[in-house]
Amino acid sequence: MDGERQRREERFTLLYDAHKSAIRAYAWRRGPDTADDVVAETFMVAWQRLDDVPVDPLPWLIGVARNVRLNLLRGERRRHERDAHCASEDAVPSFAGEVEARAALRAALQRLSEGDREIVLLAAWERLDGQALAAVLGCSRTAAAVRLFRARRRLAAAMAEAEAEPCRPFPTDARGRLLDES
Amino acid sequence: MNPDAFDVLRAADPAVTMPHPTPDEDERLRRAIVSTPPDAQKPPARRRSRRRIALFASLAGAVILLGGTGVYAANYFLDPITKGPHPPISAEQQKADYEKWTQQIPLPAGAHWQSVPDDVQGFPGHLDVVFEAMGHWTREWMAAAKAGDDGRVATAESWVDRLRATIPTITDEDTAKAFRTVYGTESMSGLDEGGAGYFDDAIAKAKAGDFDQLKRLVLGMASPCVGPRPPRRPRPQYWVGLMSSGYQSDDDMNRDYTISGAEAWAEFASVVRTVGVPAGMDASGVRLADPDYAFKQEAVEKYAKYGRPTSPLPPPITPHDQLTGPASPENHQTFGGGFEMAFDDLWAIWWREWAAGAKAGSRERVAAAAAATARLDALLPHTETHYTQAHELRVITWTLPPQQKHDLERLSAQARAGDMRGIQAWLDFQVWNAWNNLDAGGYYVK
Repeated sequence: MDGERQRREERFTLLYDAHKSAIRAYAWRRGPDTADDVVAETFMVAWQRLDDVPVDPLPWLIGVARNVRLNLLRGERRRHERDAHCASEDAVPSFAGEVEARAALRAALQRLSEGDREIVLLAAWERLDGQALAAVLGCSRTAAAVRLFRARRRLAAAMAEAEAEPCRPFPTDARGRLLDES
Repeated sequence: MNPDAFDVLRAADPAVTMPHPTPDEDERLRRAIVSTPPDAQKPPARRRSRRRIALFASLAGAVILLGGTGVYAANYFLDPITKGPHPPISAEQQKADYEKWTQQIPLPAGAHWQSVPDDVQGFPGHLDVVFEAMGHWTREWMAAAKAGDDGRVATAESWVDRLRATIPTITDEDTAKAFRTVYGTESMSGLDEGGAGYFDDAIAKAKAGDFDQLKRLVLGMASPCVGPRPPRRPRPQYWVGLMSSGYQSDDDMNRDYTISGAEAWAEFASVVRTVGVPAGMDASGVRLADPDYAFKQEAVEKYAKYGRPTSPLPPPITPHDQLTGPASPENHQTFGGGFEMAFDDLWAIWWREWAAGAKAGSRERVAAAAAATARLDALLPHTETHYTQAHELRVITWTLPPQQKHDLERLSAQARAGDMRGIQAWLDFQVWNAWNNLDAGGYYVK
């Protein structure tokens, strides 16, 4: 291996070791079935474009992963997947609070627009700040901050609404058949 | 933003359940990437890993299934009794016996014998064959009646009669005698007097054009002949794996998950509030009736009708009292017990409501039941087991076995499309199950 190739591989390995878990978590949260593909393709892009990777690489990598995922979704027929796997995690005794909180959360997330949902989840789960959100979404920091502010406000309202109506019927057509919510 | 909402969002982070690749897997991916030339355009796609399946297999031994009582029973409510204890026979002997009888009984055109049941009971197969034939001929009888083909009706009716005549009625005296013998070698399986009366009544009603009772009977006795066997009753399962090293066994860990009756009730009530109950029921759930009580009542009434008095049923007990009241003197419940009970009860309640609403032609009741079923389904959204690696490496989650979930979703989908047969069969089976449980529970007074 020549020296330049070796240095490149070392840089990539540092990047990969530092961020593979975060990228995998990002991908898993949005689609466990495609998480492995998203990770592989994201780091392949990073390997190809190693010279473009910024000093703070995580937002850049998440942005790549986001695009990879969107491409995968376009390539396959979009799977029907209710937002977030909010109802799968249990770690403490008594499901009482969990059951209601999850139901309300799922309902609230369903009421948000795709854009609102994306930025809220990036802030909540990836814990990205305004600068990083801007990098991921390809917009200015100010625009990201405004979008996040509005989305958070709408989520809070949707949560309050969902908690107030825990038994809201699922949408049905005139014959009483459930409508596909995807 | 409401901080509670943000907390809930973070607490529901799906990445908590994410299985992590092994270092070897990570290294393989890294090598695959760096082995490509930097200007290569096509990344190596690593198709969907089956790691979760492997994890599933590795954890399967740690599964704990709670609430095994009252599930779909393998025996049927008109449980044939035998003249006496038989020596167990081998699978080969049973198969030979089954084949001998199948050669002597004709089936309607297009019908085929099922294979010998896998669950070898060690008893000869005469009654199995008769019931299976009865199922085929009953189906033929119903189809012929529907088609208005009198000739086919007469043939089918005659075969049902002839088959019925081959089933002996076993008296209490016969049973007592048989039990005094030492392993009789002959097969003299039959029906007790109450069961025989019920059977004859069903055939008489069918001759008058009402097939409902006979259809339910053969559905229980030989369901593959008249339609798919109803799915198991849904029961969430409690999966535990990756125990902390502080626990020596699953039992140790479960002891740590003992909760009070009040906490179990809180679980129950939370599901009731989230899913809702049909109009007119107690929405708080406190006075929610035991949904199985009506099944039990019906079973007792049937026994009484055929001269088999039973001890009176105890009064129904509400879920609230069951979890927190005198019936649970130790007030000692297990983590998730209220959740499981609520899931089970609400499913039965809503499917009864669905069937009743469809029968009454009420679009609103049907829509409400469909929506409640979807909410129940959404509480256990996964078709495969997921793992929560948290809480000191204790992995706890709820799921339905994939086949049960599949069956329930299939039957719900059929019902949404207006076909209520699956849900009705499921409900019918709960009556048979209640009958069995009553008998097993000692309510049957001979």
